[in-house]
This record gives sequence, C-alpha cells and structure tokens, in this order.
Amino acid sequence: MDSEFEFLRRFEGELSARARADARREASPKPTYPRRWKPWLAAAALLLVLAAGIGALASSGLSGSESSMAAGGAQVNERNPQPLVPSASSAPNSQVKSGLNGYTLGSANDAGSATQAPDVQQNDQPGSSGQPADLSKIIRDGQIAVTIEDGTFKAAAGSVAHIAAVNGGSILSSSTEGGDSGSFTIRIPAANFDKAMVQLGQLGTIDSSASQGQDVTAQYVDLKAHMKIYLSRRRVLFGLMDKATTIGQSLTLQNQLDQVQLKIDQITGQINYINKQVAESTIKVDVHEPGAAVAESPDSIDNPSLGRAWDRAVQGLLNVVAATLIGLGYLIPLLIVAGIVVLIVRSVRRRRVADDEA
Amino acid sequence: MDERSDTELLLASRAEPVAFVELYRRHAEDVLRYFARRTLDPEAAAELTAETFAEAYASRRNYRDTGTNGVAWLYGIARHQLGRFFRTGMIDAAARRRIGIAREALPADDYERIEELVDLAPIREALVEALGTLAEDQRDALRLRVIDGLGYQEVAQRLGCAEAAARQRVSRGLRRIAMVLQERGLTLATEVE
Repeated sequence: MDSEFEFLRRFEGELSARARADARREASPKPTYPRRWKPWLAAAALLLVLAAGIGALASSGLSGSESSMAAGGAQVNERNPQPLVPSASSAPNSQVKSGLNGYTLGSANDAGSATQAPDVQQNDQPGSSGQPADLSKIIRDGQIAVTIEDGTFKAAAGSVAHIAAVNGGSILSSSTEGGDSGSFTIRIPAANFDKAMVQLGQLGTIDSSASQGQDVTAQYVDLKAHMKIYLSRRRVLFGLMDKATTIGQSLTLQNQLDQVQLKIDQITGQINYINKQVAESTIKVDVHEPGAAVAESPDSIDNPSLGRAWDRAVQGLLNVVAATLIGLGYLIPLLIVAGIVVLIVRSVRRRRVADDEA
Repeated sequence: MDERSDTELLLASRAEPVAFVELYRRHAEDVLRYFARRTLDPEAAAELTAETFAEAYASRRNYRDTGTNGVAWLYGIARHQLGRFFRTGMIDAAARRRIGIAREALPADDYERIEELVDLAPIREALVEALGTLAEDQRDALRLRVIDGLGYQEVAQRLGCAEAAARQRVSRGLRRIAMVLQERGLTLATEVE
C-alpha cells in the first residue's frame, strides 16, 4: 500500500498477516474440534433436576389440595379404603311386583317411594322437633390399641364383647395369640362411636388411638337426585302404559319400564348401603398384656425384605420420573416461549444491523 | 493489481481472506476521510477506520451480493460505527480484538495529515459558535490551531504546554464540537462514497 498514512500501512500489515493466517487455516485440513457436549449435558442435567424439583413441588401441592378437598372436615380413611357403594347385584331387591305390569303404581305425590325400602327415606326426613334434617353423611371408623394388666386378657376380651353389646353392636371378627393378646373388630351404631372408644380405652393403658371420617355426603345427594329423576320417569311410563292401545306399544313401554326399575333398584341399594355404613361404625381393637406379642394383621408386619426394598426402589424411581415429567410439563411451555422471544430479538437485531449496513 | 470488483473481492474473501486486503488498499483512505470530516478528530477517525475494516473482515461471510457495489456494505458498517460513536462518545475495539489486531497510538505525522483531510472552511462559522460550549483550555487550543491556523508546536508554545498536550486539547475540543454540530443536525462534510 502506498498510503501516506503510517497507521494505515501498519494496519494493512496486521490485516494481511491475519488474512494469510486465515488462508493457511482454510487450506489445511480442518482440525476436529472436541465436541462441546459437556455444556449441553450440564444444561440438560440442570433442566432435569429443575424439572424434578418443580414436579415434586407441584405433586406435593396437588396431593395436599386433593386430600384437603376429600377430607371436607373429616379425615380420609387411607389405610382401609372401602368401596362406597356395592355393585348392583349386592343391592337389596326392594321392588314389589304385582298386577298386569308387575309394578305397583304409587301414590300421586310420589308413587315410587311406596316401592322403595323404607330406610332410603329415613335419614333425611325432618325430625319430629321440626328442625331440618342433617344431610351430612360421614362414615366413621377407628382403631385403638390397649395394654392391659398381666393375666387379665380373658376378662378384657369379655369386656370388649360387653362394650360392643351395650352400645348396640357386636364383634365382627376376633383373633387371639398366646392367650395374652388379641385383635377384635366390632361394629356399633355410629351414634355410640365416641362412647365406645372411651370405654375401650378404659380397659387399660392406651397405646394408640385413631379415628377417621369419610364424607360421602356429595355422593349421597347425587344418588338422591338420580332417584328422583327415575321415579318421575317411571310415573310417566305408568301413565303411558294406561293409554297404550296396541300390544306393540305395551311391550315397548314395558321394556322401558324394566330398565327404569332396574336403575331405581340399583340406586336404592346404593343409598341403603351408604345409610348402613353411616349408621354403623367399625372399630378395630388390639388388646395385649405387657410383653405379649401383639396380634397384628398381616399388612402391618414390617419385616425387612429384599423384595419389598426392591418394590420401594422401583416405586421411588417411578416417583422421580413422574415428578420430572410433571416438571417438564411446566418448563417446556416456558422454554418454548423463551426460545421464541430470543429468536425474535435476534431477528430484530440482525435486521437493524443489516439496515445500518445497507 | 487485482482487477476484480469490490463485490467480487468481498465474495472471494470468504474462501480467500487475502482478497480482503486488496479491498482495504482501495478504500482505507476514503473511509479515513469519511470519518475525519465527520468527527473532526484525527484520533477518532483513525480508530473508527481501523474498527470498521476489522468489523468488515470479521463479518465478511455475512456479506450478500444484492446487486449494489460491495463498498456500500463497507460504508454501511462505517455509518454504524459513526452512529455509535456519536451516541456514546466511545469507539469500540471489539472487532479488532476478535481478529487479534492491537489498538495502536496514532503517529504524530498522521495526526496532522488527517487534520488536513478535514475541510473546515464550510463549518468555520458554526465552529466559532460551538466554541462557546467548550472548556477554556480546549477553546484556546482550538482557536489557535483551527482559526488562526498555527502549527502544534506554536500552539503549545502559546499555551505553555507540551505539544502532545496541545494536540490532545485540540482533539478533544474538535470531538466535542463534532458532537454538538451533529446534535444540531449540521452536515460537516461532503459524502465521499
């Protein structure tokens, strides 16, 4: 370069050196750069840990809200969950068949109620005092473990039976071990639940005591609503049946009536089951003398077991995977939005630079 | 003498980096003049020139032939640098760092030659007005150098300082004036592209 400016000549020298170096680099076989997988691996691991954390938080938050929703002021019985309603086959058959159609037409105000089991209605009629009926349906169960004095197990077992009897209940099952400990399951009217628990506790020293309440009010209200609809439908079908003029019409209506009656029977059985569950409580009583082997139900025995450890490990792994998936569910939409924003910003910046350069 | 057009040189420089040096040889002085007439500051003009070519070299692969002369792309980078200089009052050296070229002080001889590139006649009136915005030492130095037309040695004698200090006062004063004029929308020089 023939420039009169020294600094321009110097810069040209440096630029040429750089260009020649780049040219040599371009000409030589490209070195294989180590893959930059470590930062990506670290980022992925960080993302997964973050997702697992978020998933765990979200899971705990969800389970907390679920249990509080289910509890409804009463503790949910998790140790011994029972089906709330029986299957249709287990429902007591309360229908009364007579006449040409096989059904009894009820009274004008609510014909169907005449064919229902009486206890369907018994728990939600206004009381004799004129107070509105308490519609809440809560199934109450309890467990109690009591240590009694040496040599008094037989007497204590008799006392358990006596307590069940005086509270209007009975012993459903019992098991004894070595003549100094035993386990009893008693059923008593729900109204006497608290009283019975106190009396059982007085047999000796209470080791543990717990009670659970399962709120089935919502299910009960739903069943009652369905019952009302089906009863109304049945009344209409009866009316149509009276007006049927041909055998074909009668058969069609009869078929529909059969189906409606079947539904009514199923719902009646479910309502009766809930009423029965609510009306009676189950108490599991463990009584043992000091030093006696406690008679435990098989599911409460806690022996070390490789199989169980393996099951727990698998369960833990699945929990972590599930938490990670939940966390990714939260993170991925955020990452997509962030990616779009970054792309837009980069695009705008490039366009601005290109405009400037143009 | 390479007879390829500017556009061809730029395109070739992707695979043949040395082709860019030819582009530099062709346009370096013009770009320097471009900056000198707009910044009025030899140091800033030299720095901006170097940074512009460094940036162009580093991003030469981004050049796309859109049918216009390749040198327009070069002046696009120059305008970008100049705009940033007027906005921030600073000159970036990122592109030079990226290609491994060190920042260097401007030789004294180059300083005065670059000043000669600046045609101050069209802006002399505006200069007098803008002088009022300067610090006193810068204003005195500028008056002696630009209005009275004295050499730096004489300016330094009049001000009772070293020649380098006198040059620095003039430089800073001119840079300040260029910014003031830029803010007022005054065009300092004719286009060189």
